[in-house]
Amino acid sequence: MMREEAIAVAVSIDTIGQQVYLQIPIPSNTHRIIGLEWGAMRQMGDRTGYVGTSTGSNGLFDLSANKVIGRITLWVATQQNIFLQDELVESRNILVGENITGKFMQPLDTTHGTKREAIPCMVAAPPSFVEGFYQDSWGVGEFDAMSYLLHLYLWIEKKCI
Amino acid sequence: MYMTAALAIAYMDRRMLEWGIEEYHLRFRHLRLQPSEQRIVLAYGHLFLLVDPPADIRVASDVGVYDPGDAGAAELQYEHQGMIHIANNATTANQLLFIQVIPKLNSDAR
Repeated sequence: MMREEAIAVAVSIDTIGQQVYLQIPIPSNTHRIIGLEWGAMRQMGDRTGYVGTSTGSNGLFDLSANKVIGRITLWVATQQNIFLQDELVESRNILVGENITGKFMQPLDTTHGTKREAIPCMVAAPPSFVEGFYQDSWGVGEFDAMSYLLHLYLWIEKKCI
Repeated sequence: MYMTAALAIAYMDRRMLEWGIEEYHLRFRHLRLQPSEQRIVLAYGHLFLLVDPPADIRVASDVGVYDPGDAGAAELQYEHQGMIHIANNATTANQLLFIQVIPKLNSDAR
């Protein structure tokens, strides 16, 4: 019987442009790695210049451009090597029903509202650890200083007795 | 004589045999520490071998302490496991080199 579980990792990002190497231990009875889910929450930092890119008509229900907060790469010490590489995007349209924002509303401190989906991936017979590299860009152009927690949830399938 | 990279590589094979481990992964970890920075590195189930350590560095873990400035440490350890506390006691940036040994478990060999 298989069971799905998520391994939660919190990475502290303290400076803009910080680059982090990380290792995620994998349980020995893991059958497959099946996805990555993530979220981030800003802890410190004052916005210095946010320029809304909305093209709205009435100024209240607009569509803003989302922002790439960072780039992540995950790999394993097997022939498969890099199995996931993606840009993490902050949704700036999560106000008032998850689909819109307002011309006069600044982005929130969190990157997701209630909608979150895992990025699917497939690593069969993974080794005892996964390595990762994260390059931050959340505060670029908008903050003088910023710190946040990046939460990674690595979804796995485990064999159960 | 400090622990050099060559000594560490020769040492780790024997150390892993003591653990009953025949195969393992190796990673070279080069940490850059800001002045007075403190950092925690998790190394549960792994082995971190300190290589050519600089002065004004403190490395403390579940199995030993490396701190030349600590008069209470009669013997310094180059091998570390568990939760490793690292402190740069210098007023300038410092660099710390480790060789990380990650045992291959049965799952790695599948």
